[in-house]
Amino acid sequence: MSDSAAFLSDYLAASLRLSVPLAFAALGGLFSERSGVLNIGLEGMLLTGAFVSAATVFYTGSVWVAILAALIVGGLVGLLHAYLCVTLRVDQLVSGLAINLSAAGLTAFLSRLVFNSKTSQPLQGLDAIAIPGLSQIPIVGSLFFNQDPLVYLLLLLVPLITYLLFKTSLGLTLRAVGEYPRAAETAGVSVLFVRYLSVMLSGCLASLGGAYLVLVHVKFFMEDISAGKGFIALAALIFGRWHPISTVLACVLFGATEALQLRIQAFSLNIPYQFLVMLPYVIALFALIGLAGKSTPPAALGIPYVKESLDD
Amino acid sequence: MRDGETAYLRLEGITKRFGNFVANDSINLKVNAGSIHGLLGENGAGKTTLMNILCGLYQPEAGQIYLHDRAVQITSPKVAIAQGIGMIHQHFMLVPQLTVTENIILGSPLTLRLNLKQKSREILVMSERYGLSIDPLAKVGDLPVGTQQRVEILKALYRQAKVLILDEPTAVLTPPEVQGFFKVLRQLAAANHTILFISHKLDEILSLCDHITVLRRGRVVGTMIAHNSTRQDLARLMVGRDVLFHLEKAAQSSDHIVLEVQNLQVRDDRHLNAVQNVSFTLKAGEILGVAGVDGNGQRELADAIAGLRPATAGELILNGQIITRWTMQQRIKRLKIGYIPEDRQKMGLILRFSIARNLILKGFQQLPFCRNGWLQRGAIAHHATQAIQSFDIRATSGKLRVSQLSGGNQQKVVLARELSGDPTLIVAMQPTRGLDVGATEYVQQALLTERQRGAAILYISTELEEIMMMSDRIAVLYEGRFVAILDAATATVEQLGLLMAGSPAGRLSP
Amino acid sequence: MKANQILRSITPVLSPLFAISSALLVGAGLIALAGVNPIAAYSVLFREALANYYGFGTTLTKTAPLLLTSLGVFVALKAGQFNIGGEGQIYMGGLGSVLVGLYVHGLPALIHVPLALLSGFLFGAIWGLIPGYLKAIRGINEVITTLLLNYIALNLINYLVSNPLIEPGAPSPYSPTIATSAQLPIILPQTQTHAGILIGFAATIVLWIVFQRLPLGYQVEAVGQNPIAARYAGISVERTIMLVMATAGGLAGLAGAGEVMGLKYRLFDQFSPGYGFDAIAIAFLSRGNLVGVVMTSLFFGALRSGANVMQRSAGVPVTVVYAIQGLAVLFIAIGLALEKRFAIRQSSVITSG
Repeated sequence: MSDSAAFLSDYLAASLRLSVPLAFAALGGLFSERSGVLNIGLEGMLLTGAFVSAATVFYTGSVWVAILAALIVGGLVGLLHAYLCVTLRVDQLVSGLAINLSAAGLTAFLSRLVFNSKTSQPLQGLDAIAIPGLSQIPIVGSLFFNQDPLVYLLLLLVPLITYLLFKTSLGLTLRAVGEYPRAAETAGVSVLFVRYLSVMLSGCLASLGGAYLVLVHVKFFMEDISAGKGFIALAALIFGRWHPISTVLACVLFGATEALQLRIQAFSLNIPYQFLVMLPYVIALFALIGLAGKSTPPAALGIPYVKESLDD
Repeated sequence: MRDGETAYLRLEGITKRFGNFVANDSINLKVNAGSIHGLLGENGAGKTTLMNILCGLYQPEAGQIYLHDRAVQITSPKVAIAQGIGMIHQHFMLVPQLTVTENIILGSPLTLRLNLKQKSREILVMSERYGLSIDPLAKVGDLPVGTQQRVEILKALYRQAKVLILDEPTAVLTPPEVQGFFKVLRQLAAANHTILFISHKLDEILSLCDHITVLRRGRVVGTMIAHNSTRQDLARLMVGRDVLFHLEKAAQSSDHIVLEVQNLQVRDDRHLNAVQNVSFTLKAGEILGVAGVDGNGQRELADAIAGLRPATAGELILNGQIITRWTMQQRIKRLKIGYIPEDRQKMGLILRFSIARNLILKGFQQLPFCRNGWLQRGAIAHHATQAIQSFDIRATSGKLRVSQLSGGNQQKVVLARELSGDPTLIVAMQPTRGLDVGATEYVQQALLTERQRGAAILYISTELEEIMMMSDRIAVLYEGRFVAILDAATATVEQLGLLMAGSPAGRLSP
Repeated sequence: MKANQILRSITPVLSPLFAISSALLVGAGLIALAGVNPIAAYSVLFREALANYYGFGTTLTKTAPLLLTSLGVFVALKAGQFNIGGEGQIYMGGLGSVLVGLYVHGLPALIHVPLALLSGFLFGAIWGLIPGYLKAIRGINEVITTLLLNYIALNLINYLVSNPLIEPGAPSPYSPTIATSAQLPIILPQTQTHAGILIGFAATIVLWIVFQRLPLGYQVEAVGQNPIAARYAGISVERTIMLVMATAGGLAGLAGAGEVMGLKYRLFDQFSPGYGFDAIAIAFLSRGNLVGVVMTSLFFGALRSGANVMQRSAGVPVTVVYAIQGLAVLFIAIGLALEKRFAIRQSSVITSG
């Protein structure tokens, strides 16, 4: 294999790796927002998942327990967001922000307690599982078929979620709740239940993204390891018009941009690395600008649903 | 009439409270199967609350509902549907982004495979059976309102509804469409469905229903057989006193043209022409009523005159001045145009502001409320006190938040703001919408007083009766054009109805 | 009725107090988790921050950027906008002031200082105007745009102080010292407390006047409460949003300028320890009340000031303060919602007519 093919393969692998946390978070955001609940707290949920999985694997040595723990805690944070937004009807932006701030503060503090600087060795991580035969295919093989279980899960989730959303009555119900909740309610749907479920699911998925970040990618935890990935995931969601496939593709785009930063030396261009670090955010920004007006969110997004109201 | 039959639907002592406010007070109701029962009452009488109880959205504090003499607890919409109660809401419960089929099957038992094709076929068959033709694959948001209503009805029928509750269904229909709609309802009744028809329109209830129950202030004040009742009887029950069906209006005298509109063209939010080639003149002391079914360009017309929307063609001339290109700020500053928007809570008021602060919404940058760049609190408070008095606003002080006022009083605040200052031109969009009779009369009287004073008034409303009562001339707006401008004294309901529906009879020559 | 009215008027003060107390309580739990006596830890923290002359000086020093940035978030909130970009705006403000401080020569302090401050304000204002414009004209949600701009600003400053603006021979990224004539005076002798806090107080007073007495304040609040009605009254909602976001950015920019001109006299890489995010917490805790903003800023300043000492003498990681702050916002959000529900049940004062 020539140098450039190896480079390409390596670059694609890195892009995929970097986009996986984004994709999990974005898919989580998809569920929440499709049901009409804004989820700015994806960043906090991602961070929480990262910390919980890191701490769990540190104490138990088992990655699978760590993933489970991340899922559970992520679901709980989602439950909190759901409780605040759906039951208490706190402004959804405020709730998300509060979760981010709390998660940032708590994980920063707790991580100091759990991992004091003495521990410098990497955490137990998740290893790749090669699918026999398929993983031998040049370039594509190692990319798609020599990955860890979480990536396989993601690759399965995308078509699954797409099918669920558009071809099942569950998906129909979800979409109806996000567009016109009162219509769904009068048709016999429990808007509250659907929203609670969606938001909890978003917590689980975002948390899973954080778990991937720690267990597969960097294999350690530090303060603010999420570095805004939760927000880029939101931009990807808007960019992808709240559709599972285009959203994940947008995540891949952003991941590829970040991967570029680490490999730019290969092109011997004299671009300072800070601009490359900036690049994903800049692209996300321009993506949002370019799409203004053309990407319509679910109609009831951000509007708290009031069950009983005395209309004039 | 089939007397002696057990009522299919029976309500006993239904009571519903919201805080201290009693929306339904010990309501008793009996409806026979296969009959059309009218529920009459003005806005705020408690009709919608009662219906929401029947369809499971609200829970009553007291009372019992019986279906076929069996007591039922309708604890949620799901239960209501299971009991065979189908509600056709005033504001359709249809998701615009989904197709007809998707909307109809929404909420039915969860299946893993949607099988839209098969369901669409079933729905098509059903629609033909009931004479409610629709295209199952069309997106609901793209459908005209009358068709959407058919979807709403089909939704209920798809769930095997035996009881159909219709909440103000004719608000969105033209008079000819209403007749067709009534035919469908009679067919459904003949097929042994039970129909509850809620409305505040006396004539419709009289012509359609077998029995009528009148609600007032949350209580049942009368139940009668339709063909034994008169308009007067019903109106008196509805309001509690004799109602004037005609207002005293002095003849209009001035010849001075205040507003001249020439070939006006305005685009709506979707960049389509909502107003096309509209021309008319408006004299001082004259009320020009604009009749038409909602959605024919009324909002765009009003917005263009007020300055909220630019005109893409044509001219607006106020007292001889061409103001077409003037921005809204310019119009507010230099002209005296009063604008009463159609949704007082969304467009006319800031609910969390006090009465006083709402009153200065347009004038906060000018004298007397602002001097040398500083807000004049004394002047603002004083103005509020005066307005409360002159406009009979039931509030103890100008500091009270507008959100705590009733609908009628809120509208009075809007009036106080728009009418004080003696405007030359007043644009009123559905000014009595959602108001009870007392408040409605107040608003109408206030506008008539302005007319007396010499203001030119553009009165836009979907309530034909009201327009006929208030206007000197009536223009009919259909698909963005004035298809006729008639003298109010001689225009008939039939004539106007036909014009509103687009029929060429009596049209203006192009 | 009377009791309800009293209750309603003190709730704006009660609920932040309640939120903060709850957060402190949880914080105590966290401190205990770290194996330290919470009471001992808290007493060290607050004593150092408030009862000690030098400690109080540090408190004021840390309050200055918090106050200014929070005022920015506050102003934006009044117009219904969520300015999460305080952090980035602080950095841009620092940049603006350092450029004037380094490259403009020969001016007396009386002119140099205001000029540098103005530059800081303007740079921050631009960084606020960008999302403001995008929101007003293109309808793009400002939460995401301001957040993304934070990261962009951070990296931009990082690049600048590592390369073109770097002090020659510096071991880590920082700029040369700014001219003496561009430096803010120290107001408390023998401390680091500079005039930045005074700028903060001045800004507070200006804002108070605007919102209490000037038509502009009314306009901003109208847009924040009901932009549709505001538009029907002839108010330009777009211009108001842009103005407000620019002002918010400018105020945060002043905060950054203060840090550069008063504290370090250089532009350092990552010189803001999260002031921008704290400001959001402060603005929410203050419930739209200027006095609340000042008091809460002081409280957060005290937390930060005392936390360092607490870490040194009691061994509690500084990060517990961030946890407490985050939790306080969470609790205030809950408190706000509960309050609204309580109010809705009370206000069935439907007058008839």
